[in-house]
Amino acid sequence: MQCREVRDLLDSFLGQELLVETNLELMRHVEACPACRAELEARRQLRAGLQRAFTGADFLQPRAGFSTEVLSQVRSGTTHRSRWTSLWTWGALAASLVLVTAAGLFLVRHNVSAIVRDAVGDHLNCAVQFRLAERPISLTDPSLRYDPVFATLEATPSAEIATAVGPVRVIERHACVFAGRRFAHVVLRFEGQLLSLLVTADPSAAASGKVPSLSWFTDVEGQRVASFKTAGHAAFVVSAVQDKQFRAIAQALAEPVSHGLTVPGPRAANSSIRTDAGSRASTAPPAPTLSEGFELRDQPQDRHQL
Amino acid sequence: MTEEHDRGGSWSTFEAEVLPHVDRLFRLAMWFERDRTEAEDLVQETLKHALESFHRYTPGTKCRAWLISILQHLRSNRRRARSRSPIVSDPDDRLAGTVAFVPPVPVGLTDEDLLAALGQIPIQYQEVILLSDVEELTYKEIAANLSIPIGTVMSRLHRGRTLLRQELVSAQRVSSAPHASEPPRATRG
Repeated sequence: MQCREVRDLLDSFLGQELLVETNLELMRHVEACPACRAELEARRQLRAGLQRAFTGADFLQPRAGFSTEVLSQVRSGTTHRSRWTSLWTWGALAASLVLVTAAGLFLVRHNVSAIVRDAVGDHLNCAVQFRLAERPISLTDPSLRYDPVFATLEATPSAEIATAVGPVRVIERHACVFAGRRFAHVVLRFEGQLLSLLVTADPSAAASGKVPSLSWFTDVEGQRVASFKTAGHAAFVVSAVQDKQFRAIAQALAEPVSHGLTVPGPRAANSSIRTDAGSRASTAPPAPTLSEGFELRDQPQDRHQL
Repeated sequence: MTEEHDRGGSWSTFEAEVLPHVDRLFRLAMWFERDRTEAEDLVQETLKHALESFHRYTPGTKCRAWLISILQHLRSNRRRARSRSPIVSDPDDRLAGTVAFVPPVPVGLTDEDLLAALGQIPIQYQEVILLSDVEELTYKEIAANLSIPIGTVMSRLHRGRTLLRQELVSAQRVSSAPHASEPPRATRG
């Protein structure tokens, strides 16, 4: 084992993360090498120093009796309402009441598919209210593990998208799960309002030809939705921005995203890792050419409202 | 066995498992929040969530890692709610070119020097260093806690420690400069 290799492994050695054989090899080197021995000792002291400093720092200590007090509050259920809890609870209650009522009314009138409702649910619970059960994660890991198409959303759309109604800025890109459905999620902002671009596997989705058509829903739980499909995937734009602006933004987003989904990047194309049914089917569709534009197709039941 | 008895039994198990870790949880919360009320609030929320999902906890497993993962989850939600800051998948690329040199660990560091230097490096590196070196979580546990791959944990630890050492060296240079008005600080090893 060379000094450079040993230096790379010293912290893992201190953290007891190495295999027994590697430990032994490293210790043999350290015994024979004064420089690496000194380095190991320095790192051991730094680690111990951090533990001591962190445990002993006055400003980090809880007040006397905090442990028992907080536990008894948790036990009795009389926890003081935190700022966050209060805010979120009341906000969530009010929002839920409005949304449930609106959703109920809507669902009676329209047969909105589960996947559209999930996309709207993800927008509301992830982008707007931060109430997902699972923490959103970066797109990288799920793109390798589940769906290489997710990698497309790491760079598409670009950080700022010029639209006919003004610039839209990307403020977050991640992967999240709502109602058991995994989404690649790009959160955008337009004039202070949030929009979500969501892509999810949809094994039933088939490319509708060279020109993907946008479907429009004007009121799903209070949100406007535009959706289009490529083979194996469905994409949604969800927001409560005004209709005219929403349409312009959705169209501006659909073009590059559709192109990206149908022509996966090198990482997606080269991925040999298992993908789900949706992504398996994603190599077939023809890419729309930028000059072809999009066929705009309203949902019949909503056309009069647009 | 009555339901009340069951609940009492569950509570005593919960309390016995959790109580030893509350102070540590607070210190972590305090370090990240830098506000006592917020930190207490975060710990309380963590314990509340822990109690609600205690049926999913396997006795005998590492309770501290489980509690810290709940705390991190809540912290993450709060941070996102506050700032809508982008989830930076990995800032390492940005810093990769800047941390090639690993300086020696300066001698004569005080606890204050260490914490001050730790506070100077980006938060992603503070997180992994604290979880690894102070809380002694394994790489696997840290990866689960922060929802990042193990490889990212290792690279952040490597770069974070290098940045920490650079900060310590800079701090020592400043404190030992001839024009420094303060007297040399006492050392603790």
